[in-house]
Amino acid sequence: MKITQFHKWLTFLILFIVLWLVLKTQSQNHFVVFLPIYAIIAFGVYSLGFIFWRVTHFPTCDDATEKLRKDIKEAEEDLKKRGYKAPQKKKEK
Amino acid sequence: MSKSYKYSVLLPTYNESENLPLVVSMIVKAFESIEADFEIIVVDDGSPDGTQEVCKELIKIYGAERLLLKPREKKLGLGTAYIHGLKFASGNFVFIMDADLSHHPKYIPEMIERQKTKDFDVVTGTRYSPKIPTCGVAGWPFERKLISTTANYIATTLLNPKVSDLTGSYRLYKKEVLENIVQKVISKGYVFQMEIIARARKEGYTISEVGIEFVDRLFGESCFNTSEITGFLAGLVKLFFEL
Repeated sequence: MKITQFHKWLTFLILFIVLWLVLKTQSQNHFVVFLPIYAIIAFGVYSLGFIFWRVTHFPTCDDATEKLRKDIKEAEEDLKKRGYKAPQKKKEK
Repeated sequence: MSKSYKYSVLLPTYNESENLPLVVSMIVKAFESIEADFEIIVVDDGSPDGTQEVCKELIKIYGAERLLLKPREKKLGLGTAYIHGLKFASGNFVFIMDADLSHHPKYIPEMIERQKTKDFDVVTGTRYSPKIPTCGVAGWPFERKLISTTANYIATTLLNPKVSDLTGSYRLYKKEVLENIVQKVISKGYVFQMEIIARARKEGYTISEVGIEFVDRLFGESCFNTSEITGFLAGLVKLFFEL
């Protein structure tokens, strides 16, 4: 039987729930009792923070467009040298 | 070591009559610079703008051994375009890339060299790995960065493929690897490329990343509307239960 991502998550979820239920019998601490809620909130905060950081540090290369324009000119000259002629486009109106 | 290396470049096209001569010229230049054996296979899906006529003119220039035109009647999807092109590929390695110049052929030599270092099964171009300083995008508005980051984050969380650019489609494969994977793929659209790399990871293929600069030619393109978003999420969920 192939083990899918779903199976892995299910296993993790079951383990987490079992651990939480065991912990609850040991402690009445507010944090322990509401652990799943806090876990979800923590995950949400982490996710937002991660996405915010990545977007604000998104790798950009501003000179790439200029470099591409130069390469396009070079390609056009190379094609001309090789004798390429663009076929007439049929104008369909 | 007498292993032969021939590279087949699969170029699916639709309305690329303007870009095709340029991208072919650059691809040829890249391969000639390292004296590698190659062929370019253009899979055109019945473009109404004369892409196939342009390709035929290019074949007169570059020769039928280097440039092949294997068209189809209409738009039939990327996955089948790859399968179709692979049938005619005589190389033992396959490049897949876009024909609109967002994937610059200048990275071909680097990807080839990287593949040879450890005989990688897959070499994939990444636009935004935090570990690779040479990559990046040009001219993306904030909205696009946000959508791309969020989509990659969700997909990585759900599928954990351990690559930084999941929807990237500038890749080098060993031919048998791509042939094996592309038969099994079930997704369409953006999720298609994600599924290929996620399956590659799952099948235990070795994958290496090369940083690429990515320049959009169409700046005004709207990249994600609501139906695409739901389609994307639905596709991801399907893979979550599949892989």
